Amino acid sequence: MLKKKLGLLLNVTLAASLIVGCSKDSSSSESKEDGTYKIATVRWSDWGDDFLKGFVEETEKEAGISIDWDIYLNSEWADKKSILMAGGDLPDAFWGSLALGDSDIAKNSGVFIPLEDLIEENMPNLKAAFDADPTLRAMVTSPDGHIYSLPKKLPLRPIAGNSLYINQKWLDNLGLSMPQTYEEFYNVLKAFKEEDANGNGDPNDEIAYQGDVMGFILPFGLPKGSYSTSMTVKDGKPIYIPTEDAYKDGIEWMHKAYTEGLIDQELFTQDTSMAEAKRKSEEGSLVGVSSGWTPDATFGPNAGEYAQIPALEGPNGERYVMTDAPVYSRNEFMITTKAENPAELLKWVDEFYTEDASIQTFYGSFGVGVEKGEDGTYKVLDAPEGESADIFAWINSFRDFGPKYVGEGFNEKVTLPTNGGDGLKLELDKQINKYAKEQYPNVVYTTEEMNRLSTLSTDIDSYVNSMQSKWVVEGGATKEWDSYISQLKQMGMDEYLDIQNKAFDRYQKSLVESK
Amino acid sequence: MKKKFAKKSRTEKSWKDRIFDISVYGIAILMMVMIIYPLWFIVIASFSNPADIANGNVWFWPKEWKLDGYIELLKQEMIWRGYLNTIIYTIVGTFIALVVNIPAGYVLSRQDLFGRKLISTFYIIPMFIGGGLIPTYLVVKNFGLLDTFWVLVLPFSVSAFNIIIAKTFFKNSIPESLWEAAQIDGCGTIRYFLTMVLPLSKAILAVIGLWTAVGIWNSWFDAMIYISNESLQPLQLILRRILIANESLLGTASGDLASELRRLSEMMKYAAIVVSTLPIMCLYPFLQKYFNQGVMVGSIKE
Repeated sequence: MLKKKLGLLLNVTLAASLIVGCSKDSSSSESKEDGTYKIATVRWSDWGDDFLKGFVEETEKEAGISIDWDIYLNSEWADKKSILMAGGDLPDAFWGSLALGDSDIAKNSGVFIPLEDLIEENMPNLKAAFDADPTLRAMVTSPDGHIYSLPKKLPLRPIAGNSLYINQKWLDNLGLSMPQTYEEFYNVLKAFKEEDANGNGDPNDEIAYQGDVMGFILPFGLPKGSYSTSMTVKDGKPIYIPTEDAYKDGIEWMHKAYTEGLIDQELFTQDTSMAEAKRKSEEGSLVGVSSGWTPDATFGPNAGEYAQIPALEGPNGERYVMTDAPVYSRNEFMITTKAENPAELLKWVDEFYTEDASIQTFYGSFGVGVEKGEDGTYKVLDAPEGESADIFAWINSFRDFGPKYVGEGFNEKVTLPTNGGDGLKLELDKQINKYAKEQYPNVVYTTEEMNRLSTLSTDIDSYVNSMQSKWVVEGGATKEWDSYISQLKQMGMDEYLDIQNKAFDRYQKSLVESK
Repeated sequence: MKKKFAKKSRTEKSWKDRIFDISVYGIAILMMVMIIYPLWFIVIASFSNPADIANGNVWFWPKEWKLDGYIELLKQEMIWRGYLNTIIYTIVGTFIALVVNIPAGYVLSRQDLFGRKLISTFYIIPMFIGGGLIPTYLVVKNFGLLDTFWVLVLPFSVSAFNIIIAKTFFKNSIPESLWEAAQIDGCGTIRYFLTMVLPLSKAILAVIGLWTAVGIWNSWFDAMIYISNESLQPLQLILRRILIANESLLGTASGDLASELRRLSEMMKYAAIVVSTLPIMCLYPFLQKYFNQGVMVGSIKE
């Protein structure tokens, strides 16, 4: 009996394996024709390969090369990266800063070739950009003087980053006006908390503030940039945010708000999806104020009720906004030792450093995501019905990643839908970006500095974070301040700041030299 | 379970017995709830609105019945391909694993095998000391198995652990005298193994088969590393891709991308768990009878 069954099973499996075996794709054969390059790129999510069609395909044809794109997903990239680097299966080049960070490049320093001479010879567009914008060159110059990766400068980015949004309907319900100072803001939150702001008859179901700590204490004068989570610049000098007196005062201020119930009491204990469920509650708004990119991203179905709060005046009469828009970055294109003809590759990549190219690799090719007018203006097209503008752009372009450059004044030539996505963000940005201050730049560390920083910041960051939430909830920032500082010193804060200062000075120096 | 409690008449039961009975039943029921509730929660969560789950409104019955999760999930065209692949991988992989592990276990259980200890040790060493991912990858690559169907069913089919389990089973439940009797009747080793040992070893076949099948059904890591061809990907890998919301996305230039991706994955999360575990859970009842079956009942007289 069993024998019969086994025989049957064997037949089934054999048949099945034959079917599967025959459908083997032949694309994995590693034949290398002339002019074929293998380039690895990483994507946030699996959006197909439309982003390689249109403009990108045309440039390949024009340059007379064909690119074999290896698309990896971010969720799997960490494991695959080590195999690629160690397994000798290197591609000719990597595309986009999502693929490799500074530390990956430092760790595999023998793998990437220096590009500065090749840029001189083969990349007129990028050279022009370097001359026009010294930041671009300063940012890709490694401490050893070489350039291992190509930069980008994104078009149509706001100057300010996340800002605070307040429920305008609640303000109207209670007959309050938009707060302008940090004290007025506090009083508004108090009103939200104590009265029936959403008008459902229950004065106790409102959460006045649910957002990040730094957003709440911003009027005290510690604007965060996008390249560092704990460093900022004050009067041209780099400073470490969590040891500033302004930080201590801000935390005390927030603690007062917390004890009066103006802050979501679960702020430090809930996970992202719980917090999001409160903000996007389908039975009407529950949250008065939160921080975010745009209202629709933050409040979902309730987005229509929210308006941006102007930059609030702080205790010293100044106004601040988060400068959190990573317009520049490096590691957008690296060539490995595997590439047989790097000059030819760079000639092709240079085509991406034009304005026409940058807008197409950010929203989609002409005719798909963008329309170019006779007069040199551009119109970003609406996403199809029911699709988010942002996802549509991700599907059809490299979006945030890969080589790009737009000159000064480019953004004025572009019109884009203002009902959501980038267009809306730029509109909101206009209201507050005049208060943007200098942010901590995208400095370059040496390999040793990078290793020390990652060791030091592991301890320091977790200590700072745990004290931050403790002080907001239980208070005691002023009382425990001295022991907090000495604890940080024991953890190596001086060395940490020393490294940051060195890197900052080096960066400023190369900025001057690039001019 | 065919055990029956000895029946006593009510009058004989002392209060101590009763307390004992009540606490035994109490503990048993409590343990059952602990095991069943998480499964139940996933089922009801898959029919609920994600916002209700996040708010903690759902604990025994959905607040409102919603099929969105399933609809959204089954819209993903890769799911069906992945389902078929996984079923084929599971059947073929389990078959191969049984073919290589069971005979190995049997041979090692035989007293008259020369160098038995040495071979056993040889098998056991890699069980504790792996070669690491990259060397393994290179070996697989050099065998030309990358991106083929066989990479998921051949290279990792030998399992020292299963071989030892099988060996112990054969040693303890198939007496040497049975082999001697068969030999006298003129039966060779292979025939003896196929016609006498295997029919007596359904329990171990079921155990190892089920372990392997569940293992293959749930595995995604090997597929992620060795397979890039979309048409060969198993279900679990495809689900993982759909569900992993990138928390790190929050740092990108476009803030609403993260919440859009998260919204989709929140919606499909529980439906995906149900869809992917249901088939393999259905296997268990069919195999369960082998697990506690007495082997060799009355088949031999010593």
